[in-house]
Amino acid sequence: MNEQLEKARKWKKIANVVWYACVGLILLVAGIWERWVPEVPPVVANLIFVFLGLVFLMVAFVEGRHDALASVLISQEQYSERKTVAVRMTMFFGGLLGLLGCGTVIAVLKDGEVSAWVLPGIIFLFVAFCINRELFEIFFLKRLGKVGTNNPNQVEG
Amino acid sequence: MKTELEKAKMWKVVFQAAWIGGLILFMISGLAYAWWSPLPPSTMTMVTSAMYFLLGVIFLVQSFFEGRYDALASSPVSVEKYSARKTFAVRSTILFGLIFALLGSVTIWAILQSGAIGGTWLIAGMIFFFSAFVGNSYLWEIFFLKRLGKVETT
Repeated sequence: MNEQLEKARKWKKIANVVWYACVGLILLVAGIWERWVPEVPPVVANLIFVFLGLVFLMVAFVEGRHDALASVLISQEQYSERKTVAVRMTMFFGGLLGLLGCGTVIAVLKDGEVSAWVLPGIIFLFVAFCINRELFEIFFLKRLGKVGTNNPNQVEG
Repeated sequence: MKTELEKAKMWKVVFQAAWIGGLILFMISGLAYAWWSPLPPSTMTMVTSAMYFLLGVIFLVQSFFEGRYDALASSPVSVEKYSARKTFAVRSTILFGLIFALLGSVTIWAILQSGAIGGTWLIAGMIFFFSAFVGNSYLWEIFFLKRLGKVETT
C-alpha cells in the first residue's frame, strides 16, 4: 500500500505541476498573442479549452485517488458524511461555475469580438471544472476497501 | 495521528472550497462589472486590488494546509527520498516562479500601457497575487515532513 501511495503521490504532483504550468503558459501566450493576432482561430481556441478541461479532469482523478489511498479506514457513517461534503461541494461549484459560464457565454455572444464557435470548448471546460477531486475520492474509497464497519471503534485500530 | 490526519483533511477541503469558490466569485464579479458598476472606477481598482490580496492570502493558506495534509498522509521516507522530494519542490517552485513572473510582467505592462485609472493600485494587488502563487504546497510539505518525524535514516 505504501508503494502504491508513493506512486499516487508522484502522479498527483506531476498532474498539479502540469495544470498550473498549462494555465500560466496559456494565459501568458493569450496575453502576448492578443497584441499581434486580433482573433485566435476558433478551432485552436476550442482545442486549448478542451485540453485544459482534460488536464483538470486528470488532476481531479489523480488527486482524488491519492486522497483515497492516503485516507485512514473509515466507518460507513464517515463515508456517508464525506459523500455529503462531496455532493455539496459539487453543487456549490456547479452553481458558481454555472453563473460564470452563463455570464461568459452571454459576454461572448454580446460583444461579438470573439467568435461564437469557441463556445463548445468553453462549455466543456466549465463542465470539467464541476467534476472535482472529492467525487473521485468517494469513487475510490469503497473500491480500495477503505470503508469499514458501522462501529467507529472497530475501524480506529 | 489518525485524528490529526482527519482534521488536516477537513481544513484542506475547507480552504480548497474557499480558494476555488473565491476565484470563481472574483471572475463573476469581473463579468458583472461590465454591466453594472456601483462605484467610481478609481475606487473599483482599489477594491479589485484588495480582492487580489485576499485571493493571494487564501491561496497561501490553502497551500499551507494542503502541504501539511500531504506531509501527514505520507509514509515515512528515507533521507534520499526526502532529498529527492526537496529537489522536486525547488524545481517546481522555480518553474512556477518563472511562468508567473513572466505572466505578471506581461499583465503589469498591459495595465501600464492601457493607462487604466488607479492602475498602480491594481498592480500592488497583482504583484502580491502572483508572488503568492509561487509559494506552493510542496514547499510546505517539505517544511512539515521533518517536523512530523517522517524522515527516517538509512
